[in-house]
Amino acid sequence: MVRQMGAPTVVEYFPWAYSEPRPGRYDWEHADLVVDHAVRQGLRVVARLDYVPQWARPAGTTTRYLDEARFPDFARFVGAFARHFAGRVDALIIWNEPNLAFEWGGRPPDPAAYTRLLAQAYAAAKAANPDIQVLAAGLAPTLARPGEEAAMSDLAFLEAMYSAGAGSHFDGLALHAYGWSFPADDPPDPNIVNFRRVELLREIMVRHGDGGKPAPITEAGWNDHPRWTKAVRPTARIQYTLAALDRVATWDWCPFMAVWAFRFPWPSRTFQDNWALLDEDFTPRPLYAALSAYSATGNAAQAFGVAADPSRLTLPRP
Amino acid sequence: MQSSATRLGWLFAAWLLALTVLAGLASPRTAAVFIPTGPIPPLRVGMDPSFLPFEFYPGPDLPPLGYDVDLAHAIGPLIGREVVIVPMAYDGLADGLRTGQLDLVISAFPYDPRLTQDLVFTGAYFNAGPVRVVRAGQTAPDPPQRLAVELGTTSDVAARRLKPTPATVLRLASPEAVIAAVVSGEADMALLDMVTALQAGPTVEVVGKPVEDEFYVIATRKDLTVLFTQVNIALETLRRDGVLDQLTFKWMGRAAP
Repeated sequence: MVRQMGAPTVVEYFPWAYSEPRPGRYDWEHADLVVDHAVRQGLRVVARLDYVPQWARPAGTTTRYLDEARFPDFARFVGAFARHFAGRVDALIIWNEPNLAFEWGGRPPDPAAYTRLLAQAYAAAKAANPDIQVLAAGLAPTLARPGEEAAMSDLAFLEAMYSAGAGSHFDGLALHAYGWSFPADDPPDPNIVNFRRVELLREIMVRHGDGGKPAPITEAGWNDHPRWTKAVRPTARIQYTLAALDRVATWDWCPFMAVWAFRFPWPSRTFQDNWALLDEDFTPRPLYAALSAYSATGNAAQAFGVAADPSRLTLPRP
Repeated sequence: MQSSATRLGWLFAAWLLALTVLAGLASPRTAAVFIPTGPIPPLRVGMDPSFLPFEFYPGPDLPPLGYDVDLAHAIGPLIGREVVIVPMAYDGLADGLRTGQLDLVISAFPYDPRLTQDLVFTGAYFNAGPVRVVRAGQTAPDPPQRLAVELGTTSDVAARRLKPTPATVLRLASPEAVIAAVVSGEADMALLDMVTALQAGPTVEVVGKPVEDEFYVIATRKDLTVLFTQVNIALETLRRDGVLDQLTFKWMGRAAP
């Protein structure tokens, strides 16, 4: 269904714990199934790697907790993954949203520590497969204030990564672009979380001499849950997503935008359900049809015209 | 593991209790079911007051209002419990039951078979699924020639599955545009979620039952078997006495067909 929708790339999550259930014993069976199926469909695969196995963390910690002493274990896994999937996986994303305490094992976000993790993972991946692209983790767009324990501003976190020397340890930066309740063309502002906030991250990259590196959007979207304060109406979700694709097409530094998320295996009965393009039973939601039209026309206005009746659109901002 | 005799004993007790409850409900609707023999704890009803017209805050420092608030206060006297509304984020309602912070959830909560390991659900008190809407005084065409829906909604999804297939589907940007299309005759029928349809005003009519179901139910914990029985019976009493229709009329402007 991804291929039928017209998407050329998938960003897929490969939990470390699933593929290395015991130290040094790799089980690629499920990961092989996923990757081979995607490759056979003509899809490029970008792999996100994290999720710490039980053997690599202290009892009572979460699957996002990784002691610095265990960084080499993770790097070894990244190298093994890069070697095993050479020619089948194009890029690796090292960890997920480390600027959130939740994603950093319940500890305050630590950009210097993440940079050390990234450096070890980068070296291991390149040693195993020089052709693979290593992407620094997508950061959660947040408005966290300095000193907050739960989160660190994505802009401040990236600056601190560069200060810690991260620039020589990644080939590109993964971006997370969520629009919340704002249209896709809402201008970037450090005090607002909107789709174009990623331009601020890009500016930081350029300022640090990384303007030549790509920055793909590996998570993006709008949510239309009726109970979430940051959600939009279903029509706006479709219109904003298509407009975002049009905008990304003008950014030569952004090779693709991946919509979060294709499908969840079961409903959580929260707003999270309304990120998906399919119901859990694989029923396509209207955004899926609109994205299919977009891939066929390559133009948001035309795709929206296919999805809707353009003469009757009454949204405040097209 | 319980012995068969013990299980039978419990079953008999539950049956006896159900009879007692039924006898209580057979009396005038305002009568309490139980005669308290000691302090009875209040009935803690969880809801997320963020969903008009079912539960919402009418203003700062004001208690929640809405269909579900009224429903909770209608159930309370029928089972002899004082009702306390516990506002809680929607994501936390099921856990609120599991951890004993809540006795019931009444919050436009859909039936979810994946939660039945530890929660139980009453029969539905409202069906919010997409329903046919036509201009006032018109009959519903079958099949519709020009069907209007709001793009991206559950009604849009239902329209893609509707049999027989409409000749044309107008996917519009807002519920107001959908209603206007029906009123003007541009569309000969629309699908709207039940709440929007009922609130659409006198220029349109809601026809028949929803084409797809989205049931709102009351949830409680699986081990609260007595309470579950009481609430189910209370709900049936409220349905029989027309109270549910009155609530729909009060909060949505007309009764559901």
